[in-house]
Order: sequence, then C-alpha cells, then structure tokens
Amino acid sequence: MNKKNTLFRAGCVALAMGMLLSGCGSNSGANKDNGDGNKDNKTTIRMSWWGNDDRHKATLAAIKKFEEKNPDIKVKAEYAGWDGFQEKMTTQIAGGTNPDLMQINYDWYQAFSPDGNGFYDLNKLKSIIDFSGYSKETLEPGEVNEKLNGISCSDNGSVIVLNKTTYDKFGAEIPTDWDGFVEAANKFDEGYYPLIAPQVEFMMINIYLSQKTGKAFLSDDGKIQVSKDDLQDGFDWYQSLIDKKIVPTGKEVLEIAGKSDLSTVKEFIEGKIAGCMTWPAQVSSLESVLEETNQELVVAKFPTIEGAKTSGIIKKPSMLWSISKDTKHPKETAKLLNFLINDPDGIKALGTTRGVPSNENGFKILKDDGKIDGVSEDLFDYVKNTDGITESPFFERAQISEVYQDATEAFTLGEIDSEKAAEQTISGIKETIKTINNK
Amino acid sequence: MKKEQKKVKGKRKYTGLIYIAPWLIGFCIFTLYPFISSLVLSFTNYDLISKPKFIGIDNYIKLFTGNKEFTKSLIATLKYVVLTVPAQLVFALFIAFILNFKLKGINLYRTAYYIPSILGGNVAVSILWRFLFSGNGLVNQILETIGLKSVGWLSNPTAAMLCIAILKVWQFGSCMVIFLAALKEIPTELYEAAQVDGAKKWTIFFKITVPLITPTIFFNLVMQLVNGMQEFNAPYLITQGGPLKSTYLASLMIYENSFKFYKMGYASAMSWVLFIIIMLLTTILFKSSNKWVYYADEGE
Amino acid sequence: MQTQAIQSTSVHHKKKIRWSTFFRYVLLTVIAFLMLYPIIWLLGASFKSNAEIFSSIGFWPKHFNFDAYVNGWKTGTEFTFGTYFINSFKIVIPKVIFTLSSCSLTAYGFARFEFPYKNVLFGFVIATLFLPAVVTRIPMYILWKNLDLLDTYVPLIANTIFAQEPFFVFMMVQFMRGIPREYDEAAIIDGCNSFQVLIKILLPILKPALVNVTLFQFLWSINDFLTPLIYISSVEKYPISIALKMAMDTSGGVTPWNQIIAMSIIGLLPSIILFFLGSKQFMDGIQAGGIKG
Repeated sequence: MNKKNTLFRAGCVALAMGMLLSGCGSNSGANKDNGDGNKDNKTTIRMSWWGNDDRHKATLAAIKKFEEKNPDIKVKAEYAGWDGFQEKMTTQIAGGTNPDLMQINYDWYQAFSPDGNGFYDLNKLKSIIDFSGYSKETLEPGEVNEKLNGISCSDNGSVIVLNKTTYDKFGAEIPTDWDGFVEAANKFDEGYYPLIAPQVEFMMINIYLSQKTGKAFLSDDGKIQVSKDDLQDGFDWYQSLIDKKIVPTGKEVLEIAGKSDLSTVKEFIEGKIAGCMTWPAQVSSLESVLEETNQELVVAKFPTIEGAKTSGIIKKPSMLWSISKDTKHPKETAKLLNFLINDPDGIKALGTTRGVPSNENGFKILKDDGKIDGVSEDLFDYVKNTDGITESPFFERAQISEVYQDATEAFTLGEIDSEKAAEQTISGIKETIKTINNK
Repeated sequence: MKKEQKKVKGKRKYTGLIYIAPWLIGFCIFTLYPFISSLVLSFTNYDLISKPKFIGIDNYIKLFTGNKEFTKSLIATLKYVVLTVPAQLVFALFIAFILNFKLKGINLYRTAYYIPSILGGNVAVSILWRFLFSGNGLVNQILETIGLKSVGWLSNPTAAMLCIAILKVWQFGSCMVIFLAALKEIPTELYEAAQVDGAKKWTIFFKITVPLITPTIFFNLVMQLVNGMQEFNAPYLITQGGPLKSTYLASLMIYENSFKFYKMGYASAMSWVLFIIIMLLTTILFKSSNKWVYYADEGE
Repeated sequence: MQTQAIQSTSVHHKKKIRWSTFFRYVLLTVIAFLMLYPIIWLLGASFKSNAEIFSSIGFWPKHFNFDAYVNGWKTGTEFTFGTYFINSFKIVIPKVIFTLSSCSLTAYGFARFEFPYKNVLFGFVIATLFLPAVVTRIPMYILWKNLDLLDTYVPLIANTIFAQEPFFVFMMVQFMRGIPREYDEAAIIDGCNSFQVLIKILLPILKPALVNVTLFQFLWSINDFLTPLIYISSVEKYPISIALKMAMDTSGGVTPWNQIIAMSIIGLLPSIILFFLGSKQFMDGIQAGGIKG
C-alpha cells in the first residue's frame, strides 16, 4: 500500500517533468538558432554586443537598414548590458556557441586568441570587407600572428577633461602643461582639486614615462621597456602631483571615488574635483551630469613634461569586431560587418554610440553629417589628431593590470615607497607574462 | 503495541529510498557530474580556450607557496564570517521574538525588516552603500554630528571589512523569517502551561522557546556559515576586494581567476580547498549539535 | 478557572502592559526606520536626476520626475519591461512549485525513515552547498549544450524538479525533526500510509516552513542574474534580472541611474507583496493539539 502510493506519486513527477522537457524542447526547437537556420530561404546570422539603451537602439536601427538592403539575410541580435558580458562571452567561447559577429573588448581578445586562431581571419574576407579606410597602424592592434582577428571599431585615447566652471570660479586658466596645473592648484581653495585619475594612476605614470623615454611601458610582445629607475621616477613624479595638491591623496581618492564611475561621485558633480583623466567613452556621462547643474566640461590638451619625446597618450581600439572562427556563414557575416563600418547608412545609424570610428571613411561621414558637436566634436578631433603610443595588448589584461594596480594602490596609500613599488611592479609583470606565454 | 510498531518500521525500511529517489537521480546528473569535472579540472591548467593539460598537484602547491594571496584571502573570509554570523543570528532571533507578538500592524514591521534582505545583490545596493559609507557619506556625517571622527570606510582595510560586514548583517531578514516560522511551530499550550505555573517572560524564553528551536538555530548557523564563507556580492559590488586586498574574499578571488584571468584550473583548485575547509567547519558544527540541539522526534 | 486567574489584572498591571506596549512600538519603529531608510532613499532616487541622486543626502527629490518609470518600462530594447516580467514569472513559478514538491518528498525521506547509507547521503545533500557555483558553471553549460537545451528555460528549472536545492531540503528536514513522531505513529495506527502521513499530518503543521520555501525560492529566482544570462541568448526571453542591467554600461555612455533604480523597485514589488501575504501565515498560531497520545 505504501509503495504503490509513493510509486504513483513518483510517476506523476516523472510525467510532469517529461512534459516540461518536451514542451520546452519544442519551444527551443522553434526558436533555436546556431547560425545555421535556414528559414524561408533566409540565412540567419547572430550578432552580439554590449552597451546601454542608446547603443541598443542605434544598433537595432542599423541592423534593420542592413536587412532592408539584404533581404536574404536575417540578423538575430543578442545584446545586454556590460555587467556579466565577459562571463557570458567566455562561457560561449568555451562551449563553442558564440555568435557569428561579436563586439569584443580590446582587453579580452588576446586571451581568447593567443595564437591567432581564436577568431576568423578577416584577411580571408578582403573581397567583401573594405579596408581602405584603415591604415596599417589601425589594423595592427587586431592582428595576432599575422592573422587579422578583429577589426578596430572605434579608437580610444587617454584624454583629460576639465570642469571649466570651477576653473573660472578661481580665476585659473585651463592648463596646457603641468605648470598650468600647479598654478591652478595654488589658486584653488582647500578641498578643491584640479585633477583626479581614479583607477588610472598607473596609466598616467605610463604616459609620463612615454613622454620621457619615447616608448610604451610594455611592448607589443610583453617586454618591459623602461628601467626600474625610470619607473621609480614615475612613481615619485605621481607623488609630486599629490604633494602639489594637483590630485587628491590615495586615501582621499578611495574614500571619494572608490572604484566607481566618476559621474556618480558627489565631489565631482559639485565641481570640487574639477577634472579627470579618462577615456573618451566615459566623457558623455561626465558631461551630462555636469550639464544638469550648468557646469561646463572641456577637453584639455594633454600636458607634457619638458623635453617630451611624444605626447605619450595611450591609444588603443576601444572595441573590435570579430567573426566567430566556427561561423557557418562567413560571407553573410562579413557583409554585415562591412555594412557597419563602411556603409553610410550603417555608420549614420550607429552614430556616436560606439565612439570615434577608427575607419577614416566612417569618421568623415559622421563629421560631415554634422550630428557631432560641442564636446563630442572636440573629442573626435583630439583622438584623431593627437599622436600617441599604441597600447600593448598585454597592458590591460586582467592578470597584468592587477599587478600594477595593487602596487600603485599600496604606494598611494603610503604602504610602500617608490623603489619598492617599481620593483614589485616589474617583477610581478615579468612573472605574469611568463605564465601567460607558457601555455 | 510494540509488535505493531515493529511491523510499521519494517515496511518503512526502503520507503525512505523511494522518497529520496528523485533527489538521488538529480544528484548524479546535476551535481556529481559538474563536481567531478571541476575536481578533474583542478589538476589541469585549463584556460577555457585550449585543451586542458594535466599538471598534477601544481595548482595546489602554488596556492600555498609564492605570494600567499590565497591564504590571506582565506583569513579575510574567516574574519568576515566571525563578524557576520553571530551578529546575524542574534539580531534575527531577537527581532523574530519581538515580532512574534500579536501587536497591531506587526505585519508591516515584519515586512519592513525583511525588505533589506530582498535587495540581495541588486545593483541598487552598490549605489546605496557607497552613498552611505563614502568620505562624506551619510554615516560619517552622522558620526560627526554626535561628536565622533569620521572613518575612512573605503580606504582603511579594517573599516572596509566592517563596511561589508554591516551590509550582510543589515540583511538578516531571511534568518529572521526562518526563526519566525520556527517560533510559530511551538504549541501555544506550552506557553499557557508555563504561565499558569508562574514562569517569567525571560525564563520562558530561555527554558522553553530556545531549546525547542535549537534545530532552527542550528540550521541558520550552518547556512550562514556556509553562505558567509562563499560571500561574493558584497566585496564585488562595493570594494572589489580592496583596499589592499583586505576584503578580497575567497569567492571573489575564485571568480576573478576563472572569468578574468582565465585560470580555470587554478580557480577550481581554490574552490576545492574552500570546499574542504567549509566541510571541516560544518562537520565540527554537526558533531557539536549532539550536545545542544534537541530534536522532538527523538523523544526525551 | 485557571485561565480566569491569569486574565484578572489590576489597574497597575494594565498600566504596565500599556507602557511595555508603547516601548515595544517605539523600539520597533526606530529599528524599522534604520532598516528602511536606505530603501526610502532609493525610492526617492528613482524620481531624481542623475546629478541629484549622487549629490544630495536627503531622500526627498527636488522635482518629481516620472520619466524614470516611463522610460524604464519602455526600455531601450525591442520589448517592454512587461515582457521581461512575464518571462521572470515563467521561470519562477515552475521553480517554486517543483521545489515545494520535490524538497518535501526528499526531506520526508531523510527525516522520517531509516535506510542504508542515510547519513552519508544526507552529508552529500549538505556538501553540495560547499562548492562555489563559479567552478561548476562551465561543465554544466557544456552538459546543457550537449543536450541541445541552450536558450531555453529548462537549465534554469530542471534542478528543482530533482530537489537539487540543498538549502530547502535541509531546512525542511530540520523543521520536520521538530515534530514529535507521536503524530506520525498515531496516524499510521489509524490506517494511513506513509504518503498520507506526509500530506495529512506533517505538511499542514509545516505550513510556515512551506511559506518560507515559497518566499525564498521566489525571491532568489527572480534576482538570479548570472545563470539566466549564460543560458539565454534571445532578448525576448530575458527575465527582469537581466533586463534591469541592459541600460547599464559602465564602459561608456550615460547610465540612467534613476531608471535602473526605478525598475529595480518595480522588480522587487512581487517579492514584497508575496512576503506581506505569506506573513499572514505567521499570524495564526499552530493548532497542534489535534491528535494526542
């Protein structure tokens, strides 16, 4: 009697489960798409990206235009916010289920394709993708072992933006060199700072070193190109900025800004922190939050030290377009890629939601379209026209950035001195590069 | 009487297995398989892209030699557990007891206390906590108003640990709700009988209520310990393990090694070390439970 | 009789009760305020502009701006928040139902029966909790890929069918063990089989625990972000946990914080309502005095 009832119950559960699985199975059958669906003579390709609402809307509009021009191709859009995207992409690549066209962060793709075979070699699709708007330099970052793994979508270059309203308030001029910043610091009241570089202190040091030596901190194949003495000098130089009250102390930076967006920091919104070093992509949020209180943000010339060999600003692609190495529709995917980077309709639809286009042709189309103005236009010009040093793909890889971020944090908090900081950074990076290359 | 009981027990010998059959099947498919996979991976240098290569116990050795980062992380995790688990249990039990009375509007209060724990790892929490604990945040402003010095919550290693501990204790709601359920299971006749005998409130609490809910206290203790050892959201959202890795809890380190550094094999080894530590702590708790937990189904 | 003796109170006693009640209310309200202020602040923030959210401590907005709710509901995607809400329910409701049934059965087996290797198996139940989910993510993903069930809700729901929720199994076991066996035995003598004992005797007594299971599983499933993100690629199938973060891109662009907070609050409402309703269960005392001796 006992067993009969329990068996019956277990049977019910099993039946329900079976129904659920088959129900979901048929659902998934109808919607399933691994890029090789062929519905109604249409080829379906999958595309993924991350972004915010503006970028989603713009990209969906661009896709629509593409589908109008190519009625035999359907694009399935898979998009989300930034949070968690790296996990999702990593899981997909590990499981071999990644989409055909992917937007990839510059910091990741080297890990995904250490030998150059992680993504489809875009050189093979030269007949479909027009590379004329790209120079050798702009294509280089996407190359691994001479295979073109990704094509740079937009450019990034370290930029300094300043809160003109605060500077005006204290009668300080917008600085064009470091002396200008010293002057501003002297004119500012207690509690006001001309500049901040939260989470990017080491980048600033890097730029200083590049100006001094003419070389990037890390070479493209992971070798450290500055001496320990130079690096120690770099840390000392940053300390001098703190001492001259150009930037807040390490402790203050953590307490005020922590590790979050500067546009969400009270002191920045109130104008107490009157400037920062950042990437162009971040500028729109800074600009908009200051606009709300009628403060003005301007793009400054990146200050150079005396006798600087180069402006030193770090340049890198902010994101690249890559094609899946297992794609079943390379030609159709290449068409989509070409549309997004070359076709005027595509470029206008995307607008500035991905920043400054790396493609010269695309850049011109957007500029002529006239929709860029104000700070965005200044930014565009700045990035295009300032010579800098291309960042090594190793530089912002998580394992390596952890080394110098930890050293910088300990240094700015006063736990270690500049010599130890330099030592720790160099030995830590050397070891990490060795581990990465020993795969 | 006894003969009937024996007959009943005899039939029930294998009935139990049938009841847990679904669990057993699920365990083999959904739990055993990934567990064994990750154990195997811990002996490799799997980086998610290339095929895993067997490297023996190298990962485990690396964990405890070299820069001892994992050891520091484990210690930070233990500190976190010691700070949060007792505090949570005490608050939860205390408040649950207070909320167990039939006051008007008690339901509203219960909801109010429970809401923080609903937030969990919600993105709003990170905004909120920074707003409260930044240099000029609300907490420091209050401290200064009452004449104390403001604290560098996010820049001072000890304070940062406190900051994320407070977040966890603030979310004691789920513990409290479980205690509420347990308190409700105590038959009211017991209370009435005790009152008749003239027992005072606190005597009732300590001699009747607490012993009867020891199974639940034990449950909450074990669960909070296990959850605390694997805490991820608080350091991830608020401090990212800083400053100076003072809040670099084990789960955060494991996560970064898997999905940021792509050292999946190494991360798996870390997880299994964590597993063993949690297992040891829990076993100790279970063994001790024989001394202080009273189960009504075991007779007196 | 004796009850009357308890109920007879002097005026002095009545005053004492009134003071202690008053004190209780004060204490409760103060603590409630501490617990709730952060939430109240979030609510106010949903009506503020970005700059105001991060620069003012007070929770009352300067102007009440409902844009956050309007835009947040429309979202910048092809679907409205309503779609995502329905998706969340499609996932969460089956999960809750399956959890309740499978965990009750499993807990019953462990709490009330003896069988070979019982302690070892129960140890396995608990040990499942000890391993951080991070490292089992990729093997599970590959398993589901091989079963061809990616981009469906099955990977999200399947484990609850099989009681792979050690938290709930453990909790139910503890609650069950708090019920004396006399109730079971009395019922069996009256002719019930083991299943009827579970349904007619134990589960009614365990109602508060079942309410807990429902509440927690509902809440945790609705908030679960990473698992759905990994398994679901079609935007139209996203639950609200993913949809909430779609407007957030800290790598660039302007993040509409008020929108995100507004939708978070909307997303919390079902859980709060559910809790409020379920909490009524805790109001009634347990009628345990049914079967005795």
